[in-house]
Amino acid sequence: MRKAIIFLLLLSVLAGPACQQAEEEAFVFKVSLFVNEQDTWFQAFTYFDTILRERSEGRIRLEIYPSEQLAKEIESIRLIQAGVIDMTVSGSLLSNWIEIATFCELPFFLKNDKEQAEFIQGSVGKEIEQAMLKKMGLRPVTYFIRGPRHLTSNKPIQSPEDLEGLIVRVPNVPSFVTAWAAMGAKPTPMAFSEVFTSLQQGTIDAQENPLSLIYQAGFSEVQQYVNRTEHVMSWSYPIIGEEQFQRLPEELQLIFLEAAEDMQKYERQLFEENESRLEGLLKEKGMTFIEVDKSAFADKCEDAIFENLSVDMQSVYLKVNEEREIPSK
Amino acid sequence: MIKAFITKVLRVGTLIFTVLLVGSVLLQIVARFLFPSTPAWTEEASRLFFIYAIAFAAGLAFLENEYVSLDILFDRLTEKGKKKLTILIHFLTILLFGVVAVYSIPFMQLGLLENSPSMGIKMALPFASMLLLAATIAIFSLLELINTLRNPAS
Repeated sequence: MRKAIIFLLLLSVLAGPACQQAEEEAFVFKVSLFVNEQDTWFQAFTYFDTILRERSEGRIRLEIYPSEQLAKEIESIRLIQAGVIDMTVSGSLLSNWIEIATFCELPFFLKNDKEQAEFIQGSVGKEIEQAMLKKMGLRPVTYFIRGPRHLTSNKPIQSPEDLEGLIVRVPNVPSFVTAWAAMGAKPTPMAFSEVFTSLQQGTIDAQENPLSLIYQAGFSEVQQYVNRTEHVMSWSYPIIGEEQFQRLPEELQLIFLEAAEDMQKYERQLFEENESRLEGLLKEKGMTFIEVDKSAFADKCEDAIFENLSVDMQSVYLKVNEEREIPSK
Repeated sequence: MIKAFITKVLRVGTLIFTVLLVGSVLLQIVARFLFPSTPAWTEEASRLFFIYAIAFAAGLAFLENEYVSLDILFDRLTEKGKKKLTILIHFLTILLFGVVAVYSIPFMQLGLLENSPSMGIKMALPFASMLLLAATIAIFSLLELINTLRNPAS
Protein backbone atom coordinates (compact mmCIF):
# COMPACT_ATOMS: atom_id res chain seq x y z
CA MET A 1 0.00 0.00 0.00
CA ARG A 2 2.66 2.39 1.10
CA LYS A 3 4.81 1.62 -1.88
CA ALA A 4 1.89 2.24 -4.16
CA ILE A 5 1.36 5.70 -2.65
CA ILE A 6 5.02 6.57 -3.00
CA PHE A 7 4.94 5.37 -6.57
CA LEU A 8 1.91 7.54 -7.33
CA LEU A 9 3.56 10.55 -5.73
CA LEU A 10 6.72 10.02 -7.73
CA LEU A 11 4.70 9.63 -10.89
CA SER A 12 2.88 12.91 -10.33
CA VAL A 13 6.15 14.73 -9.64
CA LEU A 14 7.72 13.34 -12.78
CA ALA A 15 4.64 13.85 -14.91
CA GLY A 16 4.33 17.49 -13.87
CA PRO A 17 7.38 18.81 -15.74
CA ALA A 18 6.66 16.52 -18.69
CA CYS A 19 3.26 18.13 -19.16
CA GLN A 20 4.78 21.57 -18.89
CA GLN A 21 7.25 20.81 -21.64
CA ALA A 22 4.46 19.91 -24.00
CA GLU A 23 2.72 23.17 -23.03
CA GLU A 24 5.77 25.31 -23.78
CA GLU A 25 5.33 24.73 -27.47
CA ALA A 26 1.95 26.47 -27.46
CA PHE A 27 1.52 30.23 -27.38
CA VAL A 28 -1.56 31.44 -25.52
CA PHE A 29 -2.52 35.07 -25.95
CA LYS A 30 -4.92 36.81 -23.59
CA VAL A 31 -7.31 39.14 -25.43
CA SER A 32 -9.18 41.85 -23.55
CA LEU A 33 -12.26 43.31 -25.30
CA PHE A 34 -14.58 46.01 -23.99
CA VAL A 35 -17.47 44.89 -26.24
CA ASN A 36 -19.89 42.13 -25.19
CA GLU A 37 -20.36 38.67 -26.69
CA GLN A 38 -22.99 39.86 -29.19
CA ASP A 39 -20.61 42.32 -30.80
CA THR A 40 -18.99 41.64 -34.17
CA TRP A 41 -15.53 42.21 -32.66
CA PHE A 42 -16.01 39.35 -30.24
CA GLN A 43 -17.30 37.09 -33.00
CA ALA A 44 -14.36 38.08 -35.19
CA PHE A 45 -11.87 37.17 -32.46
CA THR A 46 -13.60 33.82 -31.90
CA TYR A 47 -13.14 33.16 -35.61
CA PHE A 48 -9.50 34.33 -35.38
CA ASP A 49 -8.92 31.84 -32.57
CA THR A 50 -10.43 28.99 -34.61
CA ILE A 51 -8.36 29.63 -37.73
CA LEU A 52 -5.19 30.19 -35.68
CA ARG A 53 -5.58 26.83 -33.97
CA GLU A 54 -6.20 25.12 -37.30
CA ARG A 55 -3.36 26.72 -39.21
CA SER A 56 -0.76 26.53 -36.45
CA GLU A 57 -1.85 23.00 -35.47
CA GLY A 58 -2.76 24.13 -32.00
CA ARG A 59 0.44 26.10 -31.34
CA ILE A 60 -1.30 29.48 -31.12
CA ARG A 61 -4.41 29.87 -29.02
CA LEU A 62 -6.40 32.85 -27.82
CA GLU A 63 -8.15 33.36 -24.52
CA ILE A 64 -10.82 35.98 -25.17
CA TYR A 65 -12.32 38.03 -22.33
CA PRO A 66 -15.25 40.24 -23.48
CA SER A 67 -17.25 42.94 -21.61
CA GLU A 68 -14.26 44.54 -19.83
CA GLN A 69 -13.78 41.43 -17.68
CA LEU A 70 -10.03 41.99 -17.57
CA ALA A 71 -9.78 45.75 -18.01
CA LYS A 72 -11.23 48.80 -19.68
CA GLU A 73 -9.86 49.84 -23.05
CA ILE A 74 -7.20 52.22 -21.69
CA GLU A 75 -6.09 49.80 -18.98
CA SER A 76 -5.86 47.00 -21.54
CA ILE A 77 -3.26 49.05 -23.41
CA ARG A 78 -1.27 49.66 -20.22
CA LEU A 79 -1.50 45.96 -19.32
CA ILE A 80 -0.17 44.94 -22.74
CA GLN A 81 2.75 47.34 -22.31
CA ALA A 82 3.41 45.87 -18.88
CA GLY A 83 3.29 42.35 -20.38
CA VAL A 84 0.33 41.14 -18.31
CA ILE A 85 -2.04 40.55 -21.23
CA ASP A 86 -1.34 40.34 -24.96
CA MET A 87 -4.05 41.72 -27.23
CA THR A 88 -6.88 44.24 -27.40
CA VAL A 89 -8.68 46.50 -29.86
CA SER A 90 -8.16 50.25 -29.70
CA GLY A 91 -8.36 53.36 -31.86
CA SER A 92 -8.61 57.05 -31.15
CA LEU A 93 -7.78 56.46 -27.49
CA LEU A 94 -4.20 55.83 -28.66
CA SER A 95 -3.89 59.59 -29.21
CA ASN A 96 -3.06 59.82 -25.48
CA TRP A 97 0.29 58.32 -26.47
CA ILE A 98 0.66 59.18 -30.15
CA GLU A 99 -1.03 62.37 -31.26
CA ILE A 100 -1.51 61.27 -34.86
CA ALA A 101 -4.13 58.70 -33.76
CA THR A 102 -6.47 61.71 -33.36
CA PHE A 103 -7.39 61.12 -37.01
CA CYS A 104 -9.02 57.78 -36.14
CA GLU A 105 -12.00 59.74 -34.81
CA LEU A 106 -12.03 63.29 -36.11
CA PRO A 107 -15.52 64.77 -36.73
CA PHE A 108 -16.35 65.49 -40.41
CA PHE A 109 -12.87 64.55 -41.54
CA LEU A 110 -13.74 61.48 -43.63
CA LYS A 111 -17.03 61.60 -45.46
CA ASN A 112 -17.61 58.05 -46.70
CA ASP A 113 -16.33 54.48 -46.69
CA LYS A 114 -14.15 55.04 -49.70
CA GLU A 115 -12.31 58.03 -48.21
CA GLN A 116 -11.90 56.09 -45.00
CA ALA A 117 -10.37 53.03 -46.69
CA GLU A 118 -8.02 55.23 -48.70
CA PHE A 119 -6.95 57.12 -45.62
CA ILE A 120 -6.24 54.01 -43.53
CA GLN A 121 -4.17 52.45 -46.31
CA GLY A 122 -2.58 55.77 -47.28
CA SER A 123 0.55 57.49 -45.99
CA VAL A 124 -1.00 58.86 -42.79
CA GLY A 125 -2.52 55.47 -42.00
CA LYS A 126 0.95 53.95 -42.32
CA GLU A 127 2.36 56.70 -40.11
CA ILE A 128 -0.18 55.84 -37.39
CA GLU A 129 0.81 52.17 -37.55
CA GLN A 130 4.52 53.02 -37.40
CA ALA A 131 3.99 55.32 -34.42
CA MET A 132 2.17 52.55 -32.55
CA LEU A 133 4.99 50.13 -33.20
CA LYS A 134 7.91 52.49 -32.52
CA LYS A 135 6.59 54.68 -29.71
CA MET A 136 4.19 52.36 -27.90
CA GLY A 137 5.55 48.86 -28.58
CA LEU A 138 2.18 47.76 -29.99
CA ARG A 139 1.73 46.05 -33.34
CA PRO A 140 -1.53 46.69 -35.21
CA VAL A 141 -2.39 43.46 -37.05
CA THR A 142 -5.35 44.78 -39.06
CA TYR A 143 -8.23 47.24 -38.60
CA PHE A 144 -11.98 47.14 -37.92
CA ILE A 145 -14.22 49.99 -38.96
CA ARG A 146 -16.96 51.19 -36.62
CA GLY A 147 -20.37 52.32 -37.79
CA PRO A 148 -20.70 56.07 -38.34
CA ARG A 149 -21.89 58.04 -35.31
CA HIS A 150 -25.40 59.52 -35.29
CA LEU A 151 -27.06 62.02 -32.98
CA THR A 152 -30.08 60.79 -31.03
CA SER A 153 -32.57 63.25 -29.51
CA ASN A 154 -36.19 63.84 -28.53
CA LYS A 155 -36.83 66.42 -31.24
CA PRO A 156 -35.88 66.09 -34.88
CA ILE A 157 -32.57 67.78 -35.72
CA GLN A 158 -32.29 68.60 -39.41
CA SER A 159 -29.99 71.58 -39.50
CA PRO A 160 -27.51 73.22 -37.11
CA GLU A 161 -30.19 75.79 -36.07
CA ASP A 162 -32.13 72.99 -34.34
CA LEU A 163 -29.16 72.40 -32.03
CA GLU A 164 -29.55 75.76 -30.28
CA GLY A 165 -29.27 75.19 -26.52
CA LEU A 166 -29.41 71.39 -26.84
CA ILE A 167 -27.28 69.66 -24.20
CA VAL A 168 -25.40 66.90 -26.02
CA ARG A 169 -23.37 64.31 -24.18
CA VAL A 170 -20.00 63.66 -25.80
CA PRO A 171 -17.16 61.32 -24.81
CA ASN A 172 -14.13 62.93 -23.22
CA VAL A 173 -12.55 63.74 -26.59
CA PRO A 174 -11.51 67.39 -27.12
CA SER A 175 -12.32 67.48 -30.87
CA PHE A 176 -15.90 66.33 -30.12
CA VAL A 177 -16.42 69.13 -27.63
CA THR A 178 -15.07 71.67 -30.13
CA ALA A 179 -17.20 70.31 -32.98
CA TRP A 180 -20.51 70.34 -31.12
CA ALA A 181 -19.88 73.75 -29.60
CA ALA A 182 -19.14 75.14 -33.08
CA MET A 183 -22.34 73.60 -34.45
CA GLY A 184 -24.34 75.45 -31.80
CA ALA A 185 -25.08 72.76 -29.21
CA LYS A 186 -23.92 72.59 -25.58
CA PRO A 187 -21.55 69.62 -25.43
CA THR A 188 -21.08 67.98 -22.03
CA PRO A 189 -18.38 65.35 -21.53
CA MET A 190 -19.73 62.43 -19.52
CA ALA A 191 -18.81 58.78 -18.90
CA PHE A 192 -20.79 56.39 -21.12
CA SER A 193 -22.18 54.45 -18.15
CA GLU A 194 -24.02 57.56 -16.91
CA VAL A 195 -25.67 58.46 -20.21
CA PHE A 196 -28.86 56.41 -19.92
CA THR A 197 -29.85 57.77 -16.51
CA SER A 198 -28.92 61.31 -17.51
CA LEU A 199 -31.18 61.11 -20.58
CA GLN A 200 -33.97 59.75 -18.40
CA GLN A 201 -33.62 62.52 -15.84
CA GLY A 202 -33.16 65.31 -18.36
CA THR A 203 -29.60 66.21 -17.33
CA ILE A 204 -28.75 65.93 -21.01
CA ASP A 205 -31.06 66.15 -24.06
CA ALA A 206 -29.12 64.21 -26.65
CA GLN A 207 -26.16 61.91 -27.23
CA GLU A 208 -24.26 60.61 -30.23
CA ASN A 209 -22.98 57.08 -30.95
CA PRO A 210 -22.90 54.39 -33.65
CA LEU A 211 -26.14 52.44 -34.19
CA SER A 212 -24.74 49.33 -32.52
CA LEU A 213 -24.15 51.16 -29.23
CA ILE A 214 -27.48 53.00 -29.42
CA TYR A 215 -29.13 49.60 -29.65
CA GLN A 216 -27.01 47.80 -27.05
CA ALA A 217 -27.43 50.59 -24.48
CA GLY A 218 -31.22 50.65 -24.96
CA PHE A 219 -31.34 54.37 -25.79
CA SER A 220 -34.57 53.72 -27.74
CA GLU A 221 -36.30 53.78 -24.36
CA VAL A 222 -35.30 57.38 -23.69
CA GLN A 223 -34.77 58.89 -27.15
CA GLN A 224 -37.20 59.18 -30.07
CA TYR A 225 -35.09 60.22 -33.03
CA VAL A 226 -31.94 59.05 -34.74
CA ASN A 227 -30.65 61.98 -36.79
CA ARG A 228 -28.38 60.64 -39.52
CA THR A 229 -25.52 63.05 -38.95
CA GLU A 230 -22.75 60.50 -39.69
CA HIS A 231 -20.42 63.05 -38.18
CA VAL A 232 -17.60 60.65 -37.34
CA MET A 233 -16.23 57.75 -39.38
CA SER A 234 -13.96 55.90 -37.01
CA TRP A 235 -12.01 52.67 -36.89
CA SER A 236 -9.94 50.67 -34.43
CA TYR A 237 -6.92 48.43 -34.60
CA PRO A 238 -6.68 44.92 -33.17
CA ILE A 239 -3.25 45.08 -31.56
CA ILE A 240 -0.73 42.73 -30.01
CA GLY A 241 2.23 43.70 -27.84
CA GLU A 242 5.36 43.76 -30.02
CA GLU A 243 7.37 41.88 -27.37
CA GLN A 244 4.73 39.15 -27.25
CA PHE A 245 4.62 39.02 -31.06
CA GLN A 246 8.39 38.62 -31.35
CA ARG A 247 8.24 35.55 -29.11
CA LEU A 248 6.59 33.69 -31.99
CA PRO A 249 8.90 31.85 -34.39
CA GLU A 250 8.94 33.36 -37.86
CA GLU A 251 6.62 30.84 -39.53
CA LEU A 252 4.01 31.40 -36.81
CA GLN A 253 4.29 35.18 -37.20
CA LEU A 254 3.34 34.79 -40.85
CA ILE A 255 0.40 32.54 -40.00
CA PHE A 256 -0.70 35.05 -37.36
CA LEU A 257 -0.66 38.06 -39.69
CA GLU A 258 -2.40 36.19 -42.49
CA ALA A 259 -5.11 34.96 -40.16
CA ALA A 260 -5.57 38.55 -38.95
CA GLU A 261 -6.31 39.63 -42.53
CA ASP A 262 -8.93 36.89 -42.81
CA MET A 263 -10.41 37.98 -39.49
CA GLN A 264 -10.80 41.48 -40.91
CA LYS A 265 -12.70 40.22 -43.96
CA TYR A 266 -14.93 38.11 -41.73
CA GLU A 267 -15.63 41.04 -39.40
CA ARG A 268 -16.36 43.37 -42.29
CA GLN A 269 -19.02 41.02 -43.58
CA LEU A 270 -20.62 40.64 -40.14
CA PHE A 271 -20.45 44.40 -39.65
CA GLU A 272 -22.29 45.17 -42.87
CA GLU A 273 -25.02 42.62 -42.18
CA ASN A 274 -25.35 43.97 -38.68
CA GLU A 275 -25.55 47.62 -39.67
CA SER A 276 -28.52 47.05 -41.99
CA ARG A 277 -30.25 44.85 -39.40
CA LEU A 278 -29.77 47.45 -36.63
CA GLU A 279 -31.78 50.11 -38.41
CA GLY A 280 -34.77 47.78 -38.59
CA LEU A 281 -34.38 46.79 -34.94
CA LEU A 282 -34.26 50.42 -33.78
CA LYS A 283 -37.32 51.28 -35.87
CA GLU A 284 -39.13 48.34 -34.29
CA LYS A 285 -38.32 49.82 -30.91
CA GLY A 286 -40.06 53.02 -31.98
CA MET A 287 -37.21 55.24 -33.11
CA THR A 288 -37.67 57.52 -36.11
CA PHE A 289 -34.77 58.12 -38.51
CA ILE A 290 -34.32 61.72 -39.67
CA GLU A 291 -32.37 62.72 -42.79
CA VAL A 292 -30.15 65.73 -42.12
CA ASP A 293 -28.28 68.31 -44.14
CA LYS A 294 -24.80 66.90 -43.41
CA SER A 295 -22.87 69.57 -45.27
CA ALA A 296 -24.54 72.34 -43.23
CA PHE A 297 -23.25 70.71 -40.04
CA ALA A 298 -19.80 70.18 -41.53
CA ASP A 299 -19.50 73.80 -42.72
CA LYS A 300 -20.24 75.06 -39.24
CA CYS A 301 -17.46 73.20 -37.48
CA GLU A 302 -14.68 72.35 -39.92
CA ASP A 303 -12.69 75.50 -39.17
CA ALA A 304 -13.11 75.12 -35.43
CA ILE A 305 -11.90 71.51 -35.53
CA PHE A 306 -8.88 72.53 -37.57
CA GLU A 307 -8.05 75.40 -35.19
CA ASN A 308 -8.24 73.01 -32.26
CA LEU A 309 -5.52 70.72 -33.65
CA SER A 310 -1.89 71.19 -32.69
CA VAL A 311 0.46 72.70 -35.30
CA ASP A 312 1.90 69.28 -36.23
CA MET A 313 -1.55 67.79 -36.73
CA GLN A 314 -2.70 70.80 -38.76
CA SER A 315 0.05 70.15 -41.27
CA VAL A 316 -0.97 66.49 -41.52
CA TYR A 317 -4.60 67.60 -42.03
CA LEU A 318 -3.62 69.95 -44.85
CA LYS A 319 -1.42 67.32 -46.46
CA VAL A 320 -4.28 64.80 -46.50
CA ASN A 321 -6.67 67.33 -48.02
CA GLU A 322 -4.15 68.24 -50.71
CA GLU A 323 -3.60 64.60 -51.64
CA ARG A 324 -7.34 64.07 -51.85
CA GLU A 325 -7.84 66.99 -54.20
CA ILE A 326 -5.23 66.01 -56.78
CA PRO A 327 -7.15 63.11 -58.37
CA SER A 328 -10.39 65.12 -58.59
CA LYS A 329 -8.78 67.96 -60.53
CA MET B 1 8.37 63.84 14.98
CA ILE B 2 8.33 62.32 11.51
CA LYS B 3 4.88 60.95 12.15
CA ALA B 4 3.55 64.37 13.20
CA PHE B 5 4.99 65.97 10.08
CA ILE B 6 3.62 63.34 7.66
CA THR B 7 0.23 63.50 9.37
CA LYS B 8 0.11 67.24 8.94
CA VAL B 9 1.02 67.05 5.24
CA LEU B 10 -1.62 64.37 4.68
CA ARG B 11 -4.30 66.37 6.47
CA VAL B 12 -3.62 69.49 4.42
CA GLY B 13 -3.49 67.43 1.21
CA THR B 14 -6.81 65.72 1.93
CA LEU B 15 -8.46 69.06 2.65
CA ILE B 16 -7.11 70.78 -0.47
CA PHE B 17 -8.08 67.96 -2.83
CA THR B 18 -11.54 67.52 -1.32
CA VAL B 19 -12.24 71.23 -1.78
CA LEU B 20 -10.92 71.05 -5.37
CA LEU B 21 -13.10 68.00 -6.04
CA VAL B 22 -16.27 69.70 -4.83
CA GLY B 23 -15.32 72.87 -6.71
CA SER B 24 -14.74 71.18 -10.06
CA VAL B 25 -17.97 69.17 -9.88
CA LEU B 26 -19.93 72.31 -8.90
CA LEU B 27 -18.40 74.22 -11.80
CA GLN B 28 -19.48 71.49 -14.21
CA ILE B 29 -23.06 71.47 -12.90
CA VAL B 30 -23.38 75.25 -12.91
CA ALA B 31 -21.85 75.50 -16.40
CA ARG B 32 -24.15 72.81 -17.78
CA PHE B 33 -27.25 74.88 -17.02
CA LEU B 34 -26.14 78.49 -16.90
CA PHE B 35 -23.14 79.03 -19.16
CA PRO B 36 -23.22 78.92 -22.96
CA SER B 37 -20.56 76.17 -23.01
CA THR B 38 -19.18 73.77 -20.44
CA PRO B 39 -15.48 73.34 -19.72
CA ALA B 40 -14.31 69.94 -20.99
CA TRP B 41 -11.62 69.42 -18.39
CA THR B 42 -13.81 69.19 -15.27
CA GLU B 43 -14.73 65.53 -15.69
CA GLU B 44 -11.08 64.56 -15.81
CA ALA B 45 -9.99 67.02 -13.14
CA SER B 46 -12.63 65.82 -10.68
CA ARG B 47 -11.42 62.25 -11.10
CA LEU B 48 -7.83 63.31 -10.44
CA PHE B 49 -8.85 65.30 -7.34
CA PHE B 50 -10.94 62.42 -6.04
CA ILE B 51 -8.07 59.97 -6.42
CA TYR B 52 -5.67 62.30 -4.62
CA ALA B 53 -8.16 63.06 -1.83
CA ILE B 54 -8.33 59.30 -1.19
CA ALA B 55 -4.57 58.80 -1.56
CA PHE B 56 -3.88 61.48 1.04
CA ALA B 57 -6.59 60.22 3.39
CA ALA B 58 -5.70 56.51 3.20
CA GLY B 59 -2.73 56.77 5.55
CA LEU B 60 -4.71 58.90 8.02
CA ALA B 61 -7.58 56.43 8.05
CA PHE B 62 -5.08 53.69 8.84
CA LEU B 63 -3.60 55.70 11.69
CA GLU B 64 -6.99 56.38 13.24
CA ASN B 65 -8.14 52.78 12.81
CA GLU B 66 -11.01 53.76 10.54
CA TYR B 67 -10.85 50.71 8.27
CA VAL B 68 -13.43 47.96 8.48
CA SER B 69 -12.26 45.14 10.71
CA LEU B 70 -13.79 41.85 11.83
CA ASP B 71 -13.33 41.38 15.57
CA ILE B 72 -15.07 38.00 16.09
CA LEU B 73 -11.75 36.19 16.34
CA PHE B 74 -9.79 39.08 17.81
CA ASP B 75 -12.09 39.54 20.84
CA ARG B 76 -11.85 35.89 21.82
CA LEU B 77 -8.07 35.88 22.03
CA THR B 78 -6.05 36.38 25.21
CA GLU B 79 -4.03 39.58 25.61
CA LYS B 80 -0.95 37.75 24.43
CA GLY B 81 -2.77 36.34 21.42
CA LYS B 82 -4.13 39.76 20.51
CA LYS B 83 -0.65 41.19 20.49
CA LYS B 84 0.69 38.39 18.32
CA LEU B 85 -2.15 38.84 15.85
CA THR B 86 -1.62 42.62 15.75
CA ILE B 87 2.06 42.10 14.96
CA LEU B 88 1.17 39.63 12.21
CA ILE B 89 -1.36 42.05 10.72
CA HIS B 90 1.15 44.90 10.71
CA PHE B 91 3.77 42.69 9.18
CA LEU B 92 1.46 41.61 6.36
CA THR B 93 0.30 45.19 5.81
CA ILE B 94 3.89 46.36 5.44
CA LEU B 95 4.59 43.51 3.03
CA LEU B 96 1.52 44.19 0.85
CA PHE B 97 1.86 47.95 0.65
CA GLY B 98 5.64 47.72 0.34
CA VAL B 99 5.20 45.59 -2.80
CA VAL B 100 2.56 48.00 -4.16
CA ALA B 101 4.82 51.00 -3.45
CA VAL B 102 7.84 49.45 -5.17
CA TYR B 103 5.88 48.38 -8.26
CA SER B 104 4.08 51.72 -8.52
CA ILE B 105 7.40 53.19 -9.66
CA PRO B 106 7.62 51.25 -12.98
CA PHE B 107 3.89 51.96 -13.35
CA MET B 108 4.65 55.69 -13.09
CA GLN B 109 7.37 55.29 -15.71
CA LEU B 110 4.80 53.81 -18.11
CA GLY B 111 2.70 56.89 -17.42
CA LEU B 112 5.45 59.22 -18.65
CA LEU B 113 4.62 58.25 -22.24
CA GLU B 114 0.89 58.75 -21.86
CA ASN B 115 -1.02 62.06 -21.81
CA SER B 116 -4.51 62.61 -20.46
CA PRO B 117 -7.03 63.50 -23.21
CA SER B 118 -8.44 66.84 -22.09
CA MET B 119 -5.95 68.37 -19.64
CA GLY B 120 -2.93 66.96 -21.45
CA ILE B 121 -1.04 66.17 -18.25
CA LYS B 122 1.36 63.23 -18.04
CA MET B 123 -0.50 60.21 -16.67
CA ALA B 124 2.48 59.63 -14.39
CA LEU B 125 0.96 62.33 -12.17
CA PRO B 126 -2.28 60.47 -11.37
CA PHE B 127 -0.32 57.20 -11.20
CA ALA B 128 1.92 58.73 -8.52
CA SER B 129 -1.07 58.62 -6.15
CA MET B 130 -0.48 54.85 -5.88
CA LEU B 131 2.97 55.47 -4.49
CA LEU B 132 1.66 58.07 -2.03
CA LEU B 133 -1.12 55.78 -0.81
CA ALA B 134 0.98 52.64 -0.50
CA ALA B 135 4.05 54.34 0.97
CA THR B 136 2.14 56.22 3.70
CA ILE B 137 0.23 53.13 4.81
CA ALA B 138 3.45 51.07 4.83
CA ILE B 139 5.30 53.73 6.85
CA PHE B 140 2.50 54.12 9.40
CA SER B 141 2.20 50.37 9.71
CA LEU B 142 5.93 50.13 10.35
CA LEU B 143 5.73 52.82 13.05
CA GLU B 144 2.79 51.03 14.69
CA LEU B 145 4.70 47.74 14.58
CA ILE B 146 7.73 49.30 16.30
CA ASN B 147 5.38 50.82 18.85
CA THR B 148 3.70 47.50 19.60
CA LEU B 149 7.03 45.70 19.95
CA ARG B 150 8.42 48.34 22.31
CA ASN B 151 5.42 48.48 24.65
CA PRO B 152 4.94 45.15 26.35
CA ALA B 153 2.16 46.66 28.49
CA SER B 154 -0.31 47.51 25.76
